Amino acid sequence: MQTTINEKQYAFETLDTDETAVDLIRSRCGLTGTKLVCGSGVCGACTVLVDGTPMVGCLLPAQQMEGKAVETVEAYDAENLHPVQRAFMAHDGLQCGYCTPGFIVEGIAFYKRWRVEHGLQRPSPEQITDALAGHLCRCGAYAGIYAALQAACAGEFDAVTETHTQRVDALEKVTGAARYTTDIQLPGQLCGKILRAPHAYARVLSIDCTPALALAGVKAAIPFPGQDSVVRYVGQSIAAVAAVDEATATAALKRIKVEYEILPHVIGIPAAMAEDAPDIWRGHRREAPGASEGFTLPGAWKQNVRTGLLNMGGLRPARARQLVAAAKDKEGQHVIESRYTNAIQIHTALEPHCAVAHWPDETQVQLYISTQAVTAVQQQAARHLRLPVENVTVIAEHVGGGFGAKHDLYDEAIAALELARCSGAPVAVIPLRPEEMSLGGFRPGGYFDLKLAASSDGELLALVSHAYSDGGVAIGNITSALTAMGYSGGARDLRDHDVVSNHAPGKPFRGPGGTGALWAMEQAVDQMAHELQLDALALRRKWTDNENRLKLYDWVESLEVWQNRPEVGSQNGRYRRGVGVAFGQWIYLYDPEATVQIDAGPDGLVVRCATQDIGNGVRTTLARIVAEVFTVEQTKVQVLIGRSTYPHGPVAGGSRVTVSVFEPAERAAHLLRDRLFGLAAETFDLSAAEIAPGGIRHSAGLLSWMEIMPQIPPQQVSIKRGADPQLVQHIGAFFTNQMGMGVMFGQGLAHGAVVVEVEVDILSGKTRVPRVWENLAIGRAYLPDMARSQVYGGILQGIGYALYEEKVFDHATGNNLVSNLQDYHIPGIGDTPEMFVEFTDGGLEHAKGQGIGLSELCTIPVAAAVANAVYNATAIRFTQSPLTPERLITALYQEPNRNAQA
Amino acid sequence: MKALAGFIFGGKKQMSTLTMVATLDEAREATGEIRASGTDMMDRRRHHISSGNIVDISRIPGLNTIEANDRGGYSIGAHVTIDATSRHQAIISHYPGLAMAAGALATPQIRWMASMGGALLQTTRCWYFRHEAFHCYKKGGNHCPARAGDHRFGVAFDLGPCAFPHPSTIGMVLLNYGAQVEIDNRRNLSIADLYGDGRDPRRDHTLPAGEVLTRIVLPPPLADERASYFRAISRARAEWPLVEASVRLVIDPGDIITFARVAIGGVAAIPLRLPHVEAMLEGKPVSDALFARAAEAASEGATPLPMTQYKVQLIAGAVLETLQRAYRRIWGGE
Repeated sequence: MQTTINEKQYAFETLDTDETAVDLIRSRCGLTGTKLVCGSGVCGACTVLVDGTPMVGCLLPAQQMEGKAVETVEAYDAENLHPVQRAFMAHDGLQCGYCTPGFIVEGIAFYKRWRVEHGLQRPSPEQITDALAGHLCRCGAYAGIYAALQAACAGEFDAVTETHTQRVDALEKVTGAARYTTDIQLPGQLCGKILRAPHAYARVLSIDCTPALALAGVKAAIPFPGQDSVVRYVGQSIAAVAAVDEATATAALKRIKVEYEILPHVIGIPAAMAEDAPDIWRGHRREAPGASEGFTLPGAWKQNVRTGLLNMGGLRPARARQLVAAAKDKEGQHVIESRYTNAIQIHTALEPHCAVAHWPDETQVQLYISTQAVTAVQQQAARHLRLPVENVTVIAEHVGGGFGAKHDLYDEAIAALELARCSGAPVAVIPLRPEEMSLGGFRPGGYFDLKLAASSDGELLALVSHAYSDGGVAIGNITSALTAMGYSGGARDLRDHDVVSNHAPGKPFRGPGGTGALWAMEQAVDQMAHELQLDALALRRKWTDNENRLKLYDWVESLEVWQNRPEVGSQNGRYRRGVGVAFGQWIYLYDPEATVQIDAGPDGLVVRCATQDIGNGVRTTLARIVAEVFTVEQTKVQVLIGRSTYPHGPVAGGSRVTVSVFEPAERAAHLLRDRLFGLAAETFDLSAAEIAPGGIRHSAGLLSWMEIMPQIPPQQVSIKRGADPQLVQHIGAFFTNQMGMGVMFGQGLAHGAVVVEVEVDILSGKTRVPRVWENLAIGRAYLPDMARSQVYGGILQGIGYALYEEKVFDHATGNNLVSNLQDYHIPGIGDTPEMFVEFTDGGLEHAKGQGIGLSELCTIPVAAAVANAVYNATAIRFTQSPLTPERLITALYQEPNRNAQA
Repeated sequence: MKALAGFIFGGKKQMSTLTMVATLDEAREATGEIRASGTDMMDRRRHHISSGNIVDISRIPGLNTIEANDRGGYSIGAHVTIDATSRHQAIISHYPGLAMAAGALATPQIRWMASMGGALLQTTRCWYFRHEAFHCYKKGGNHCPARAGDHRFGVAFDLGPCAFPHPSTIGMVLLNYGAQVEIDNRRNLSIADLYGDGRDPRRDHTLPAGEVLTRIVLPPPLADERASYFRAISRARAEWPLVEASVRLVIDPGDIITFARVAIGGVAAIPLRLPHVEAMLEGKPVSDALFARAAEAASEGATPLPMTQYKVQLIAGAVLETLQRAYRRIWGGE
């Protein structure tokens, strides 16, 4: 088969029967810019140009490349940038960058067609939607993508040679040069695969790997380490193999002989709570994994239900229950009582959980891994391997999304480490998309039984919030407290229950517990306001004493869209427009150990920190701070992150990265600059010297930092963030002081407001979100442009939660049915609303740097605001997420009163 | 030309073959699953849903054009892509409902790759069928796991043991156009016969193994046809339809409907034409009330499964929307 790729001729004598273009391009040609994500032609990450036409490389048979001219993203490298690439860099049409090469080649093809047909006209968003409907971006960079393509097509980047970029690593990402874990190809690297259990609940009687080892090309086959002989979910790791290629590894898995004693299983809360349900953790309850970050609060088990021992509402929960019961019959008091149900949301990072392990010798290992937690994984790997921490190097240069699911030393990494040790060769373990969708983690679902009592004039009397969380086999959901955190007053009874059943463990997901808690609480508050015939904000004001929160109420009231919102149930037409509001709040976490090191020397300014950029943009944050202090361009600052050998860096979780590194980076930069100034003034004997933009101004002119650095001895400054000054003792600090894991509860909460406009089509059941307004009171947005990009993504994921996303199980077998991106629906470019994002400054001056995290806050209230807007439009209260056409149609036509409340 | 490749199956190293055939005779002689563009097959193969030999017909010449045929209509070669169909001037002018549907389905990259022949003969999108763990009728088994399981995307007209709807939008629209398919350059088969009655759960179509669908034969166009296509989905774009509809109308200067064709998809094991709805429309003056009655009648005879009740209402919604769009000549889609 002969083909041309990026103008180079290739001839391949034999091809594998099932080989596709993306396989060939990535593994035979080493062109790893093209990514394989869904393998079903849905997400477009593998898009390449075939004779100028975009095609999905995952479905294009390699044989059909015969005689074609194929172009991959590498055809447009840094020396040969296309205006579309420059536009993506300037308009921030990317975050983690994993989907970016696909968008770029599609964008270039669109640009070329557009020019022929429309010249320099600006394409409409609708036209871009049509062209890019075959691409998915989980970070939600669509707003930047629209802006980039419009500007590029209109010619704004045609004559540009000096490229402005929002992100310092955008150039690598738009050219496909950025190397992710999936792209690592070490000499002699083997393909590792994990044998996954086919049963939801079973005892493993025996595992025999020897038949697999007998197959030619198989280099290692091992029972999965730590396997406790009981399978509790479909897909649990049983064994692992390493072989010379994927087909051999797959065949080897089939040869492993496993004997199971199959046990009756249960899936989901109702089944798990049935009296005759099997007690799935009995005798092993301490082994149940946690679905939350960090610690698990104490709980008491009863069969499959684990109830938190702490009542998060305080000491007198019975009082809250009494008040609610009494309010039901009392004149002048109202009760909202409902069950709010949450679907399970799958993280769906486009880069799967994957790792490549390489042992240079028997005591040293390098682990390339797609992770949010370089330092934590290093410690866990060392513990697992019984090696000194410094013998384990964890590397995550670029990470294709995480969203909470990549905090731990997950099974793909364990398999890679063990198989590489066993086989003596580097091993890559990269799961297929169905494995990732089924086992890669999810936001636990479940329901809240929520009761809210208030007096007619809106005084909050009591809140009873009992959460039942479905995290599969995992426990430790802390979510009922999140229903109450935003409001003060009234008695509270807040209870958390984990209900375990036989499906894969849930993992933390961007604001763990928050989205579901607000889905319940913010709808209940909205409903209470409606029943009391009070304004939704007026009611909330009565329950609020936080200054920042009150400012957000003022802001919502100032919005025209809010002032002009329709009356509930006032519309009869086919399309019903609604406006809804929801508020959220989130805890403030930071890593007091976070350390930023800056070197000044012959290489210029080099920043080091063992944090990682999963699309959150910390590489840019660090570069920008240092660049601003030195008044140089951000691209002049080299940032080295994603490697455990660098000074301790924060985990990308708990919205804690920027707030942990900004202040020490700024302090380090100032210290270094002052030191360079002193040294230079002395070395060059400068007179009337003062620090000026770009360098040192002195009597004879300007000496730039770049000139100074090679001529003085190398300088290094390393600054640890440390803790905030403690104003008062608070309960959060108590817990985190016990944790001692590089995380600290800061004081105060971040607050957010979101206003959503929806359009409900009662004929087709579709709900659209045309516009969203969001305002976050986080003290200070350090880099507003980067913050805004993150908020856009958070809004998109919130819309996905509200309208589309749901993990569905086959209860008979325990299999996940939404195991691909055709059936699991994440928001596409056409689902992007127009978004108006603002920040409210102040109120958090005690935090070092004066600003706290927003990544979780920005997404958690969105779904509730969508539901409130749909209520406003239709007068139907949808308590179950997601609000699919199926549910809308059912509520509107078949069970019109089922979901409606009074 | 035959390319051999190593393939390991059941623990034994076996050879599965990929045969690139250049003629229909070679295709008939070769054994294996026929592959056109591969957009359906390669997904199944990567995810271990399908295995065995492949017979690639993409190099058979002469199947890549849209031409006027001797019946006064047009013929579309099996290799013609969905995108090319949607942009072909004669198709847009004479068979607008087909052009619209072809322009609205899947994603741009798929439309550029996928062939019209393959679009008609693709396999079900059932999430049980497309899951490695499940066996079913279409994989040689003897039950349908979706029936007892989660079939929210299943059929609303329950014609046979398989609970999932036929995936072909193109098939539904061609049924509405009274098209035929040509097999092996020799015999013709109506679209209705290509799909049968939906009772055989093992098959997505009735074509015997080794036979190649070579062309789509469209009947003569109607003068001044108004047509539309609509699919109900949850997101803005790129989703398999919950319900889809195709409508063709001819309306005389007095606003009387002189010709009506209505078909729906996403609801049964085969695409459905709705003659009783057509009969309600023909000969009547256009009115909102008439369209509403016709749309309500579209789900007559529906036998929804426990989880597909909602589709009954959605059929009415989709048909009403498509009727209105066709009447107002609104270019359709999602």
